[in-house]
Amino acid sequence: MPPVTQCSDADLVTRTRRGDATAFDALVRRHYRHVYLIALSILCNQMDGEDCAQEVFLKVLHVIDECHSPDRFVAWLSQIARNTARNAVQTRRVRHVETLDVAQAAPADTRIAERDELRQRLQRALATLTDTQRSVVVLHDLEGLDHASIADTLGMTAVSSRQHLFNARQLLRAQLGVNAVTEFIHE
Amino acid sequence: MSEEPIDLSALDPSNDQLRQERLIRAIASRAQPALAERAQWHARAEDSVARQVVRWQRGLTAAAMLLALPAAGVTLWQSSRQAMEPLGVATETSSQIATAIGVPADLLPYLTPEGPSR
Repeated sequence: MPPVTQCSDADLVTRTRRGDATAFDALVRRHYRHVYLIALSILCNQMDGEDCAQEVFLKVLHVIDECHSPDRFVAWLSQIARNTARNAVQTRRVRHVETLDVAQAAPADTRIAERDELRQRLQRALATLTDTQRSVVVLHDLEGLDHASIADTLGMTAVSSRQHLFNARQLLRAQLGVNAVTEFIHE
Repeated sequence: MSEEPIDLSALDPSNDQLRQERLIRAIASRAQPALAERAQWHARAEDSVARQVVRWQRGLTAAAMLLALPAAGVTLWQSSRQAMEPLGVATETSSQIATAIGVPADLLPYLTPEGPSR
């Protein structure tokens, strides 16, 4: 049996169905970032995104026998992530970033503190966008997906994805100010 | 200007590797009971298949023998019959040749290696 890092998603799905904990762990490690970013793009909050990502993977394990095309596991996973995040929004379990995050983090390192502050600013700015704009800009500018993949993930055309990205960037720049982000990067 | 990406890297979960590792471990830990249940279920299923094979093995072997014996008999009978056929073909051919070259029918018995029967 090949090591899990060399296994395809389809192989890992098959092994997870048989209760292979190593295979499930590999699936989580491989796709955690993607799931978290989808959740974050909908929930606009780090902790809610993390909770949602956990919930998504546990749900995936519960319904993994229903994944009829394991070679398209990511598309299936993305759909579950989006639905779970949307349900979380509907039940308004969203916490306020400002109070909880600052209280919990309290980082000693100045650079980490600055990054946390920037993260909160970005989250607040993202919260002003529509769900679609937010998803597109996060998946494109942070996850690095191209418009075809975003269109496939979000169920829209690539042209529409481009348009949403354009609008989202304009709105974010207006919210953050052009120098806000770059100042941090070039430090 | 909007062609330039916005730097959202501060939102990247991999910035805080320790936190991400802790979250992944938490998922693995919460998934453990469900995975153990799946592993048990599959072990039971595989075990029951193996048991079924063992249980039916003797009966299946006996049935296979019952089928194999008549089949072997038929095969032997057919092969012995095939071995005899070339003689028949030769006899028929020699009588046909005799008729074709105009040998009278009364003389045919004299053309066989055994000669006419008395």
